[in-house]
Amino acid sequence: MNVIKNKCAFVFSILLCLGSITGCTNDETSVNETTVTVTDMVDDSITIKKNPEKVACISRTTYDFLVAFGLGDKIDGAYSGTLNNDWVSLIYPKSADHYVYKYENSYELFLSRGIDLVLAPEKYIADDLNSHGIPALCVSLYGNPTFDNYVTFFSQLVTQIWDDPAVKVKADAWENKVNNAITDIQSELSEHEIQERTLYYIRGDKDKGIGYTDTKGSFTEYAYRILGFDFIGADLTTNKPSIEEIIASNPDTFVAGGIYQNRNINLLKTTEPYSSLDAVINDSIYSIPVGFTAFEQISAMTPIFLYDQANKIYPDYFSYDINKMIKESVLDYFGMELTDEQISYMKQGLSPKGESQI
Amino acid sequence: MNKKSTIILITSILVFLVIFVVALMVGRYQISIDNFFGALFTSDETYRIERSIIIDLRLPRTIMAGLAGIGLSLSGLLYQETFQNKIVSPDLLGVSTGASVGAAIAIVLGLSSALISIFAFLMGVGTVILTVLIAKIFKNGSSTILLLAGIIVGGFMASVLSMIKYFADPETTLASITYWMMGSFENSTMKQVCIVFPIILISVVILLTLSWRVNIVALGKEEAQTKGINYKFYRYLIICIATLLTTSVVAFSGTISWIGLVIPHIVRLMVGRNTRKTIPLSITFGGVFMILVDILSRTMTDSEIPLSAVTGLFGTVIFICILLYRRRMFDEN
Repeated sequence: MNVIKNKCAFVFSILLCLGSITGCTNDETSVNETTVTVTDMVDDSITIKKNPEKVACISRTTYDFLVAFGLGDKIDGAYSGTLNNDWVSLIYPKSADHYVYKYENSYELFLSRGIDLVLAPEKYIADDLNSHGIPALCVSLYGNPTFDNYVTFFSQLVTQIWDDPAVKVKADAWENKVNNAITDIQSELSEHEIQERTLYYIRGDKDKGIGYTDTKGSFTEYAYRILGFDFIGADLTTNKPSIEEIIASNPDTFVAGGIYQNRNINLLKTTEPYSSLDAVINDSIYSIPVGFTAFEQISAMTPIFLYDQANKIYPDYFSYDINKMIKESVLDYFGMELTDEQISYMKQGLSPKGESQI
Repeated sequence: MNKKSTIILITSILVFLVIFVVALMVGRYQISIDNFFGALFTSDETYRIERSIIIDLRLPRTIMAGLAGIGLSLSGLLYQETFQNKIVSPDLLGVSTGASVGAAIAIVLGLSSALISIFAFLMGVGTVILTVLIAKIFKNGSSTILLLAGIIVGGFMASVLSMIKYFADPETTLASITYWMMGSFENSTMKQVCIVFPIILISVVILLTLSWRVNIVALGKEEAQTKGINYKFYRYLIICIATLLTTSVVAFSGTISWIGLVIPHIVRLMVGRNTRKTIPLSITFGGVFMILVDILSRTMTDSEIPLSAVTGLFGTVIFICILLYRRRMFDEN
């Protein structure tokens, strides 16, 4: 009899525990059930948890924005290429606590880390994760067919995902700055007879030499179109044109970005047949600053990128105080006050100590 | 050489020379015939860019393409004859996969292109040595054992390569490894030509001198020994030369598929199995084929198409044609 009693008590207690657990779960669900359906950059509608607490920033354009908009504590980790940057550790020391993700990661990694949202760089990665129950949005480096409609896409997406007035204020302010920069430059250029020239962008974020550029859907294509250029990469079928293809296009201007920019510029000036090109002979080669991200990547620094390039390419028409802009923006977005020397290094594509970043 | 073989050889030499000049003239940067000769035979500064494109870009890669074609075709022929097996190719003993592992390690370590070539060369040679050592364990001098050892070591190297690729950064090193493995003459320089040229030249001279011995080795161990030659010595000498040819090409150009398989078949179809005829023709046919492939790879699109993609397309078509032709000949007989 006692045995039966004990068994009944045991079963009853288990049922009680299960009931209380279910009750707790229901309570929590009612709190977290706030979801939001958003559309990502490839037009996929995904329902995700609102105000996610643990975000994996695999897409390179996302980490910088989240930190700049005050959402750094919501980040679990970022892509190694983003975190492996001396400027990131200087400007945002908390980045040292962030998990270093690969470009492609296992489902179990995200599940074990309790990730609420993955910001993926490519559609196939986002699709794959979503199909395995891991919420993921595609935030690509490229727009379709061009980047024109995507300049403020991510900042708007952030305000849809995080229901926080402070975030919205920062995102709106950034959008205003970008729109102002575009308007300022376009209106000034429209007052002058600018002959459209060709421009070749050397994408120096990887060690792929001069034959590595961006194509039609990139932000750089959009930006240099705003600056009055015919972007050579827009007509290419690949971002890795052959040397002869570059020589045949004989660009009027070269711009070099990324951590390999100084090596690439030196290569242009010292290697035949590049050194015989018009742009090299006329010294029409410009560099792009590298900071928390490469400036030509859509980021918190995008307005400054546009002003900086306008200054360099059209010194007769523009003279913005880039040093002041960088100083104020880094302080405003990241809470870090840079020295004049550091800003100078940033503009030269060097590390915070003035060394090559290669 | 009989009359037919001589005519084929002279014609192929002429075609080789013509295709070599054509390769210097065509590309994504269009150079008119006047400008071509102006750039080469005058010092006029107007042709500075054209001159640089011809001399600095097209000349080294065309020479390299020719050398690669010669090296891979010859090594394919040598392997096929030595192993008495018509479907073996230069990477039979794991040379290409071994070289790829060496190159992949160097790429992952972020080493310079010169060191990538050195790593590829050493690993390619090392892999063949490993294959030979494994074959020795069985204490059986048959070609089958060596072939099996090649498959074992090649499979092992392929696994190592897969592991390296799996752990490589998908955005940077993985792309470089993949591109290297598909072959390209894009980064060819005259310095590289100066390294590869003597290796190919010495190998060719030795092979032309020993061509009748290659014929005897191709008959097999028993027959070769009855002819009074040191079968073991010559077989390993031929394997050494074939390995050296393959590795020196692969180290600087990446792996290039099909050519070592297809060219010897075409040549045999034209002049038969006699290596005194097939060796010279493999040199010219291989060179012509590879230069043609290089022209196509760099002119078809605005970027460079990897060589193996082009050789694969043409190789399969040519190989099917060869099989169909042989079938027809067989039916007719």
